[in-house]
Amino acid sequence: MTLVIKKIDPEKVRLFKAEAVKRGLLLHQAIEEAITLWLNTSRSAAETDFEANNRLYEAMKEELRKKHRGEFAVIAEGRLVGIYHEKKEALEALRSLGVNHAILTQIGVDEERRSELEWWGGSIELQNAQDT
Amino acid sequence: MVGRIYRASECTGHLAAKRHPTPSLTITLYNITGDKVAEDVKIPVDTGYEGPIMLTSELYRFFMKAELPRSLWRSYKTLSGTITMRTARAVIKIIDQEIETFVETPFLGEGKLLIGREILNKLTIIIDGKRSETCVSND
Repeated sequence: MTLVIKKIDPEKVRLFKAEAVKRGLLLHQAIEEAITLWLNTSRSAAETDFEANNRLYEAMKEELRKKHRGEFAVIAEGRLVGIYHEKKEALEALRSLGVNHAILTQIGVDEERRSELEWWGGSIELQNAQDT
Repeated sequence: MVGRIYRASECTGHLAAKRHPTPSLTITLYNITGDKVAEDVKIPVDTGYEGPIMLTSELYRFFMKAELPRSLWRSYKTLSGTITMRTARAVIKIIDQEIETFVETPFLGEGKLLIGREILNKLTIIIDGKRSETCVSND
Protein backbone atom coordinates (compact mmCIF):
# COMPACT_ATOMS: atom_id res chain seq x y z
CA MET A 1 0.00 0.00 0.00
CA THR A 2 1.01 3.63 -0.43
CA LEU A 3 1.21 5.75 2.70
CA VAL A 4 1.52 9.54 2.81
CA ILE A 5 2.48 11.03 6.17
CA LYS A 6 2.56 14.74 6.93
CA LYS A 7 4.14 16.78 9.73
CA ILE A 8 7.04 14.45 10.53
CA ASP A 9 10.23 16.01 11.87
CA PRO A 10 12.52 16.11 8.75
CA GLU A 11 15.64 15.58 10.85
CA LYS A 12 14.19 12.35 12.28
CA VAL A 13 13.31 11.20 8.75
CA ARG A 14 16.87 11.96 7.57
CA LEU A 15 18.37 9.97 10.45
CA PHE A 16 15.88 7.12 9.89
CA LYS A 17 16.74 6.92 6.16
CA ALA A 18 20.46 6.95 6.95
CA GLU A 19 20.02 4.15 9.50
CA ALA A 20 17.98 2.11 6.99
CA VAL A 21 20.73 2.48 4.35
CA LYS A 22 23.36 1.51 6.93
CA ARG A 23 21.37 -1.69 7.70
CA GLY A 24 20.87 -2.47 4.02
CA LEU A 25 17.11 -1.98 4.17
CA LEU A 26 14.76 -0.22 1.79
CA LEU A 27 12.76 2.57 3.44
CA HIS A 28 9.51 0.58 3.46
CA GLN A 29 11.26 -2.42 5.01
CA ALA A 30 12.71 -0.24 7.76
CA ILE A 31 9.31 1.34 8.48
CA GLU A 32 7.65 -2.08 8.67
CA GLU A 33 10.33 -3.28 11.06
CA ALA A 34 9.85 -0.17 13.22
CA ILE A 35 6.06 -0.66 13.29
CA THR A 36 6.43 -4.32 14.33
CA LEU A 37 8.88 -3.37 17.07
CA TRP A 38 6.58 -0.64 18.38
CA LEU A 39 3.52 -2.94 18.41
CA ASN A 40 5.42 -5.68 20.24
CA THR A 41 6.69 -3.21 22.81
CA SER A 42 3.21 -1.88 23.56
CA ARG A 43 1.91 -5.46 23.84
CA SER A 44 4.50 -6.44 26.41
CA ALA A 45 3.73 -3.26 28.37
CA ALA A 46 0.08 -4.34 28.47
CA GLU A 47 1.08 -7.73 29.80
CA THR A 48 3.10 -6.12 32.58
CA ASP A 49 0.08 -4.06 33.63
CA PHE A 50 -2.03 -7.21 33.36
CA GLU A 51 0.17 -9.05 35.85
CA ALA A 52 0.39 -6.11 38.27
CA ASN A 53 -3.36 -5.43 38.20
CA ASN A 54 -4.26 -9.07 38.78
CA ARG A 55 -1.72 -9.42 41.57
CA LEU A 56 -3.29 -6.45 43.36
CA TYR A 57 -6.82 -7.77 42.87
CA GLU A 58 -5.90 -11.15 44.34
CA ALA A 59 -4.27 -9.46 47.32
CA MET A 60 -7.34 -7.26 47.95
CA LYS A 61 -10.26 -9.45 46.96
CA GLU A 62 -11.22 -10.67 50.46
CA GLU A 63 -11.25 -7.13 51.82
CA LEU A 64 -13.22 -5.90 48.80
CA ARG A 65 -15.81 -8.66 49.25
CA LYS A 66 -16.28 -7.85 52.94
CA LYS A 67 -16.60 -4.07 52.63
CA HIS A 68 -17.72 -3.23 49.09
CA ARG A 69 -20.03 -5.97 47.79
CA GLY A 70 -22.00 -4.73 44.77
CA GLU A 71 -19.72 -1.73 44.17
CA PHE A 72 -17.37 -1.27 41.21
CA ALA A 73 -13.60 -1.47 41.60
CA VAL A 74 -11.15 -0.05 39.05
CA ILE A 75 -7.56 -1.27 39.17
CA ALA A 76 -4.90 0.08 36.81
CA GLU A 77 -1.13 0.57 36.76
CA GLY A 78 -0.90 -1.90 39.65
CA ARG A 79 -2.94 0.34 42.01
CA LEU A 80 -6.54 0.64 43.16
CA VAL A 81 -7.83 3.64 41.23
CA GLY A 82 -11.10 3.72 43.13
CA ILE A 83 -14.26 2.01 44.36
CA TYR A 84 -17.50 3.42 43.05
CA HIS A 85 -21.17 2.99 43.99
CA GLU A 86 -22.32 3.65 40.42
CA LYS A 87 -20.96 2.08 37.26
CA LYS A 88 -20.98 5.39 35.41
CA GLU A 89 -18.53 6.79 38.00
CA ALA A 90 -16.24 3.81 37.40
CA LEU A 91 -16.48 4.37 33.65
CA GLU A 92 -15.54 8.04 34.09
CA ALA A 93 -12.47 6.94 36.02
CA LEU A 94 -11.59 4.44 33.29
CA ARG A 95 -11.95 7.08 30.56
CA SER A 96 -9.49 9.35 32.33
CA LEU A 97 -6.80 6.65 32.39
CA GLY A 98 -4.35 6.39 29.51
CA VAL A 99 -3.63 2.70 29.99
CA ASN A 100 -3.77 -0.40 27.82
CA HIS A 101 -5.02 -2.67 30.58
CA ALA A 102 -7.28 -2.15 33.56
CA ILE A 103 -9.58 -4.26 35.69
CA LEU A 104 -13.21 -3.25 36.14
CA THR A 105 -15.23 -5.56 38.33
CA GLN A 106 -18.47 -5.42 40.24
CA ILE A 107 -17.38 -6.87 43.55
CA GLY A 108 -19.12 -10.09 44.48
CA VAL A 109 -21.42 -9.95 41.45
CA ASP A 110 -19.00 -10.77 38.64
CA GLU A 111 -17.92 -13.81 40.64
CA GLU A 112 -21.34 -15.33 40.12
CA ARG A 113 -20.75 -15.55 36.35
CA ARG A 114 -17.62 -17.64 36.79
CA SER A 115 -18.29 -21.23 35.78
CA GLU A 116 -17.29 -23.94 33.37
CA LEU A 117 -19.51 -23.75 30.30
CA GLU A 118 -19.57 -25.55 26.98
CA TRP A 119 -18.30 -24.88 23.50
CA TRP A 120 -19.57 -28.05 21.87
CA GLY A 121 -18.06 -28.28 18.49
CA GLY A 122 -15.41 -25.66 19.03
CA SER A 123 -16.73 -24.25 15.73
CA ILE A 124 -15.57 -27.14 13.65
CA GLU A 125 -14.82 -26.16 10.07
CA LEU A 126 -14.74 -28.36 7.02
CA GLN A 127 -11.39 -29.09 5.44
CA ASN A 128 -9.80 -31.91 3.50
CA ALA A 129 -8.35 -34.73 5.57
CA GLN A 130 -5.00 -34.50 3.76
CA ASP A 131 -4.70 -30.83 4.85
CA THR A 132 -4.61 -31.80 8.54
CA MET B 1 -48.38 -26.67 12.49
CA VAL B 2 -47.62 -23.83 14.92
CA GLY B 3 -48.66 -21.08 12.49
CA ARG B 4 -46.50 -18.39 14.08
CA ILE B 5 -45.43 -15.40 11.96
CA TYR B 6 -42.23 -13.43 12.56
CA ARG B 7 -41.58 -10.01 11.04
CA ALA B 8 -37.89 -9.67 10.19
CA SER B 9 -36.39 -6.29 11.13
CA GLU B 10 -32.96 -6.91 9.63
CA CYS B 11 -31.38 -9.78 7.73
CA THR B 12 -27.74 -10.70 7.23
CA GLY B 13 -26.52 -12.90 4.40
CA HIS B 14 -24.68 -16.07 5.39
CA LEU B 15 -20.90 -15.92 5.48
CA ALA B 16 -19.07 -18.01 2.92
CA ALA B 17 -17.59 -21.31 4.05
CA LYS B 18 -15.91 -24.22 2.26
CA ARG B 19 -19.26 -25.85 1.36
CA HIS B 20 -22.07 -24.81 3.67
CA PRO B 21 -22.39 -21.05 4.34
CA THR B 22 -22.53 -19.89 7.97
CA PRO B 23 -25.55 -18.13 9.52
CA SER B 24 -24.39 -14.70 10.72
CA LEU B 25 -25.67 -11.53 12.32
CA THR B 26 -24.56 -7.93 11.86
CA ILE B 27 -23.45 -6.20 15.05
CA THR B 28 -21.55 -3.10 16.13
CA LEU B 29 -19.06 -3.46 18.98
CA TYR B 30 -18.27 -0.78 21.56
CA ASN B 31 -15.93 -0.99 24.49
CA ILE B 32 -17.51 -0.23 27.85
CA THR B 33 -16.38 3.40 27.80
CA GLY B 34 -18.36 3.94 24.59
CA ASP B 35 -15.65 3.87 21.91
CA LYS B 36 -16.82 2.22 18.71
CA VAL B 37 -14.42 -0.65 18.02
CA ALA B 38 -16.02 -2.30 14.99
CA GLU B 39 -19.07 -1.26 13.00
CA ASP B 40 -21.44 -3.58 11.15
CA VAL B 41 -19.38 -6.70 11.67
CA LYS B 42 -20.79 -9.92 10.29
CA ILE B 43 -20.45 -12.37 13.17
CA PRO B 44 -21.09 -16.13 12.80
CA VAL B 45 -23.90 -17.59 14.91
CA ASP B 46 -22.64 -20.47 17.05
CA THR B 47 -25.36 -22.21 19.06
CA GLY B 48 -22.72 -24.58 20.42
CA TYR B 49 -20.94 -21.72 22.19
CA GLU B 50 -22.59 -21.10 25.53
CA GLY B 51 -20.90 -17.74 26.12
CA PRO B 52 -21.77 -14.24 24.83
CA ILE B 53 -19.33 -12.94 22.16
CA MET B 54 -15.99 -14.44 21.24
CA LEU B 55 -13.44 -12.20 19.55
CA THR B 56 -10.13 -12.70 17.86
CA SER B 57 -7.24 -11.79 20.14
CA GLU B 58 -6.44 -8.79 17.90
CA LEU B 59 -9.93 -7.34 18.33
CA TYR B 60 -10.05 -8.20 22.03
CA ARG B 61 -7.09 -5.87 22.70
CA PHE B 62 -9.48 -2.91 22.35
CA PHE B 63 -11.49 -4.17 25.32
CA MET B 64 -8.63 -4.80 27.75
CA LYS B 65 -9.22 -1.49 29.49
CA ALA B 66 -12.17 -3.05 31.32
CA GLU B 67 -11.16 -6.66 31.83
CA LEU B 68 -12.36 -8.95 34.61
CA PRO B 69 -9.76 -10.26 37.05
CA ARG B 70 -8.12 -13.44 35.81
CA SER B 71 -9.59 -15.50 38.64
CA LEU B 72 -13.12 -14.63 37.41
CA TRP B 73 -12.61 -15.76 33.82
CA ARG B 74 -14.69 -18.65 32.56
CA SER B 75 -13.51 -21.87 31.06
CA TYR B 76 -15.22 -23.88 28.33
CA LYS B 77 -15.32 -27.60 27.73
CA THR B 78 -14.65 -28.44 24.08
CA LEU B 79 -14.14 -31.63 22.13
CA SER B 80 -10.40 -31.18 22.46
CA GLY B 81 -10.13 -30.13 26.11
CA THR B 82 -10.86 -27.15 28.33
CA ILE B 83 -10.17 -23.59 27.18
CA THR B 84 -9.83 -20.59 29.51
CA MET B 85 -11.18 -17.31 28.13
CA ARG B 86 -10.09 -13.78 28.94
CA THR B 87 -13.21 -11.70 29.65
CA ALA B 88 -13.92 -7.98 29.36
CA ARG B 89 -17.00 -5.76 29.55
CA ALA B 90 -18.44 -4.50 26.27
CA VAL B 91 -21.57 -3.20 24.60
CA ILE B 92 -22.99 -4.59 21.37
CA LYS B 93 -25.63 -3.10 19.15
CA ILE B 94 -27.93 -5.31 17.09
CA ILE B 95 -30.34 -3.31 14.93
CA ASP B 96 -31.35 -0.60 17.45
CA GLN B 97 -30.93 -2.76 20.53
CA GLU B 98 -27.91 -2.10 22.76
CA ILE B 99 -26.86 -4.97 25.00
CA GLU B 100 -24.25 -4.63 27.72
CA THR B 101 -22.37 -7.87 27.82
CA PHE B 102 -18.96 -9.51 28.00
CA VAL B 103 -16.54 -10.36 25.22
CA GLU B 104 -14.14 -13.26 25.46
CA THR B 105 -11.04 -14.56 23.72
CA PRO B 106 -8.93 -17.63 24.49
CA PHE B 107 -6.08 -16.88 26.90
CA LEU B 108 -3.91 -19.00 24.67
CA GLY B 109 -4.55 -18.99 20.93
CA GLU B 110 -6.01 -16.58 18.44
CA GLY B 111 -9.75 -16.92 19.02
CA LYS B 112 -12.62 -16.50 16.58
CA LEU B 113 -15.44 -14.11 15.94
CA LEU B 114 -18.62 -15.79 17.23
CA ILE B 115 -21.93 -14.90 18.82
CA GLY B 116 -23.05 -17.49 21.36
CA ARG B 117 -26.14 -18.55 23.26
CA GLU B 118 -25.80 -15.99 26.07
CA ILE B 119 -26.73 -13.30 23.49
CA LEU B 120 -28.73 -15.41 21.05
CA ASN B 121 -31.20 -16.31 23.81
CA LYS B 122 -32.01 -12.61 24.24
CA LEU B 123 -33.06 -12.28 20.60
CA THR B 124 -35.66 -13.62 18.22
CA ILE B 125 -33.71 -15.04 15.33
CA ILE B 126 -34.88 -16.65 12.13
CA ILE B 127 -32.30 -18.74 10.31
CA ASP B 128 -33.60 -18.81 6.77
CA GLY B 129 -31.35 -21.40 5.23
CA LYS B 130 -33.16 -21.45 1.89
CA ARG B 131 -32.53 -17.73 1.38
CA SER B 132 -29.05 -17.92 2.99
CA GLU B 133 -30.03 -15.23 5.48
CA THR B 134 -30.30 -14.87 9.24
CA CYS B 135 -32.87 -12.34 10.40
CA VAL B 136 -33.61 -10.64 13.69
CA SER B 137 -37.17 -9.87 14.66
CA ASN B 138 -38.30 -7.18 17.07
CA ASP B 139 -41.63 -8.99 17.67
